[in-house]
Amino acid sequence: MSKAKEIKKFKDFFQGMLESFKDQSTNYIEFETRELENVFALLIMGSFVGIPSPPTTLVIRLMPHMVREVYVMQMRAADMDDIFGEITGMFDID
Amino acid sequence: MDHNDKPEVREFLIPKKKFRVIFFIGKGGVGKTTSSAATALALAKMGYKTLIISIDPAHNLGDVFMKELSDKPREIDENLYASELDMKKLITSYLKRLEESMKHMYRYLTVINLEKYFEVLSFSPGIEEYATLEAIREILNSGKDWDVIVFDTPPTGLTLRVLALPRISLIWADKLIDLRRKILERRRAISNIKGKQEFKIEGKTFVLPTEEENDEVMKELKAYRKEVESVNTTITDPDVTSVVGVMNPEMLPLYETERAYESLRKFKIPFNLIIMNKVMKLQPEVPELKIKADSQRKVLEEVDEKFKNVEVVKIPFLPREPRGFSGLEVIGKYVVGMT
Repeated sequence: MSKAKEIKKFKDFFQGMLESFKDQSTNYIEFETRELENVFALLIMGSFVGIPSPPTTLVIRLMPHMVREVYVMQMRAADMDDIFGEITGMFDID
Repeated sequence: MDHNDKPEVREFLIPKKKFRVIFFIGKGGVGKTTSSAATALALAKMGYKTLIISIDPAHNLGDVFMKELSDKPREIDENLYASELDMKKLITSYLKRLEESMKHMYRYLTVINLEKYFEVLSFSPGIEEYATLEAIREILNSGKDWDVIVFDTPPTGLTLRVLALPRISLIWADKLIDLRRKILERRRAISNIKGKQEFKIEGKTFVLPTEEENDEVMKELKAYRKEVESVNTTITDPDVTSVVGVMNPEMLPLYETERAYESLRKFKIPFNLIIMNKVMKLQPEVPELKIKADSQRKVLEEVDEKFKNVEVVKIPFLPREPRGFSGLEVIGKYVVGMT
């Protein structure tokens, strides 16, 4: 193996470590953000599940811009049974 | 008529800033329309360019003036313009507008399967209130065209809910803006560490906005808040808005006026005047009507006690309904305080 290749491997290894650190450090914030996005979508579309809705005008004006939030909300509903899995995973509990 | 009142024009009925807004509220059948028409006429005679507009779905403003009215203001006398809002048309056009804005997101609808939800939204309870508020907002926006805008409203319940809406909408907008800010803060934190965050759906990639200026949701929230706030500022400003309660000297209208008074105070909307219609003054006393007259007197006493900061104008029981201009003008001058 040439020296250059070894150095590249080394670099990649550290790069990977750095990425993994970054991922770990943002894991919790990302989870929290998703939760907030979910709550936001739920509030806007609360009448779906019987929560009082904000003024209809506001709801309909916001809807076109809420693709992301609605998507998160749907995923949240779909993954509902695995929410503990996600939390234990986040805190490294096996 | 009771001539003990001071002969000055009531300040809260004439324009102080750019224009004056007067809402006439009260139970059904107490004479809201007649009182508001009379007041508008008197103000027009004083030289103020006055618009009287009925937002009651069961219109009879045209009947009181004995003129044909439509949803476009029509000049019916010098300085006096009148119109009856077509609520049905208004609600339909309101829903149409909402539908238009929904069409913008049509391409996503299939992805997240929301068509059904939208169908339901257009039937959601309270849509009349929102449409009415929207109409009031539009009229207030045209405020610079008028000196005085008089609203003849539907019976108390609906009117109170409509007047409460701006305040409630503000609370919602503020809460949602707060929540949105938290989301954006977290997105910013993540993208500071990991770079731009992308979101893929249906083969399209969006960069998730992290700043308030780039976030469409935040922009919409802020725009909405601003609109609602301008209505709220207008209807809570005592130099612009006055609410006049119309009632008869009977117990049920009294209770209703009391409740209206309380909730308007809660929403900080100025309530300045009570017009007491159909007050009987029997000279000489008629034994058959004595009980009625006594019970009226009792209500009048209670009104004086319960509404300490509110002026009360008493209009006597008239032998004939005041319809047409001449009859209305006498009452109007009295309400405004010119006699």
